[in-house]
Amino acid sequence: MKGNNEHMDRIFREKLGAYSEQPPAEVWEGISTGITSRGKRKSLFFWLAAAAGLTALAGAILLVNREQTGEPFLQQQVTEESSVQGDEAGSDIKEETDIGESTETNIQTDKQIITEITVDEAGDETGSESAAVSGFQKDKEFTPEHAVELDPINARSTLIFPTGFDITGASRPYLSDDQFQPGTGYVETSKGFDAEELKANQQRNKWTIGTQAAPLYAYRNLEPGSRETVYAQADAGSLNRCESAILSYSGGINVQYHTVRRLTLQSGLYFSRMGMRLDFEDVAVKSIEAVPSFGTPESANSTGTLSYDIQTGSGTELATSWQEYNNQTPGTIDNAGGMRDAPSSWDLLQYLDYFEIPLVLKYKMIDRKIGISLVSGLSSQILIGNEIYLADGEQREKVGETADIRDLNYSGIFGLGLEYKLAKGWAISLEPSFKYYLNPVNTTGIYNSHPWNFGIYTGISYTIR
Amino acid sequence: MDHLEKIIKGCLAGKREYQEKLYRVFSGKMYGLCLKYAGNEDDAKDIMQEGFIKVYTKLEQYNHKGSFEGWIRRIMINTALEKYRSQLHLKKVDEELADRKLPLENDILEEMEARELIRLIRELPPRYRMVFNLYVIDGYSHREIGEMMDISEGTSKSNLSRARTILKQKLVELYKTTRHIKS
Repeated sequence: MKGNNEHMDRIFREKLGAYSEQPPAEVWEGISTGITSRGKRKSLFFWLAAAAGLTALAGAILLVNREQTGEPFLQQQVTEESSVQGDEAGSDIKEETDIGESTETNIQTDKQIITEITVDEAGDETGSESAAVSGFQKDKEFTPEHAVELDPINARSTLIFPTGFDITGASRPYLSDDQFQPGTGYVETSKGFDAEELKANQQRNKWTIGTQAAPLYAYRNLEPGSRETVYAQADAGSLNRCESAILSYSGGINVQYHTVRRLTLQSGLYFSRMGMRLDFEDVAVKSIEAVPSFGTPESANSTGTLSYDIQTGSGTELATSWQEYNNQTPGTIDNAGGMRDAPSSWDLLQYLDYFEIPLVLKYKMIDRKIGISLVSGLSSQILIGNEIYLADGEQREKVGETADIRDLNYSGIFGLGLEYKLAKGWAISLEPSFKYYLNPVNTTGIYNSHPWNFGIYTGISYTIR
Repeated sequence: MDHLEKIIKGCLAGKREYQEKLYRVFSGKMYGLCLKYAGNEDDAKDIMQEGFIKVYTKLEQYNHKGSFEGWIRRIMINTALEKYRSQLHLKKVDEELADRKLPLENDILEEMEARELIRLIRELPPRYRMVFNLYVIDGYSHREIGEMMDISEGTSKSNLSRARTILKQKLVELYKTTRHIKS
């Protein structure tokens, strides 16, 4: 029987070992179409994603700008806060109303423009200053103005007019000539707005620039991927045992735009490094997918195929050991290109480096000298580095890179912001935050790998006044 | 520059004419491989297409050490294994054959054409067909087959034994039919 088996095997091997047959023409057509559609899909997706990110950023800036200009109010409910000032006799100014009327009826609504106008002795306008403030009741019928002190420091009295009303010349229905005080500011606003609040509102809509840096604790979450495997080591549990988190870093510059009260929009440019530490023996020797043979060194982990260079060229002791290890069994069909009996101290460090462009919304829960904010947003990551290092203690040697990694990723950001205001617009901040990659970093694979990191960002910023 | 090196370089640059040249050089042998591993001609074409697309997308990972043909063959085999992965562990009742010692007329094999042998292999269940191809035709060890197919060495050996038994049975039936026709 053995002889029979050997004979049968020999016949099959001789007749089929080198068997070749020309495939039908449609096979090449299918391959050609497949290559074309993959190329288009990647580049089209890349540009669509980049365009979507830029459009979102542009839209946010435009939206903020529209909020800043606001719409001038036409009718205001004037509420009294203090007594009327001015000449008692013959005054055309409305008499004082009850002081008891509350100014708390000002409802925080859309922002309005207030204009402070200065006039000279002739009653001609000599200057005006506008600011956007919030807190007016809308759609209330305007009632005649009252003079209020809007600048208690300078004790300047003001008169109130509806928006667009011409206070010079004959168009001053509410004032007689002797009531028209040169140097007095006239404010188009509703009353009840005190100086402190006006000044506070004038501090908004400012730009802040800053810089941040953070140590990161980085790892990944695995979801079932698009491809299946026959290999035992693909079990997620065993992958989690041989792949561990790393400490890395991130840093960059940011720009903040303070919109309506308590809300800030932040973007910028950051660098971040993501990655994992891999147990060398588990990854290279018991690879979850032993692709290589004939001296092609590769192995695979949860993120994808790890492609190695045997000749690293650095001449270090570790580089020499790496080369000797890879040359142990040349040209034979073996696990991972002959990588066996490696030193137990060897690990692989799988790094992916990104430029990040975040778009983050901050809401200030507490806005004092110490501020506390909730932080949430999205970030685009552009791949700029892809490296695998062999690590032995403190020694490092670059030995390859990971294949099939996406060029563009998106992540969600959640965190808390703590800010301490220093003097003259300067502030320091501390922001613990969590970032999770919404799409996998690998384009194909047994698993979809979603990196995440937790970092504590420290920074300094300056608000432009 | 070596002709193949030039073609590989052109493929890495994404030039379609070089991709087609590469295909023309290796398509005959690789289609022959796909026909052996596939259960039918349509599957063979699918494996061929998917395999070559992988060759082009992974080409930058080939570091010019070892045979390029061997590198492509390995990709094709892996593609075939992936295609039938879900069937590699199934067992059908009628496949459970005793290890029958079948007399086999040696000359019948000698007379058979390659295409006929491929048709015979195709009639094997996927897991037997894979093991038979990997061990008998492509020279992998049972340990390597076990790792590639996520089975033990022992299972690989028993699958091979069963594959041989089925092939012999079919050869015997074919021989009887052939003798009957000839007579």
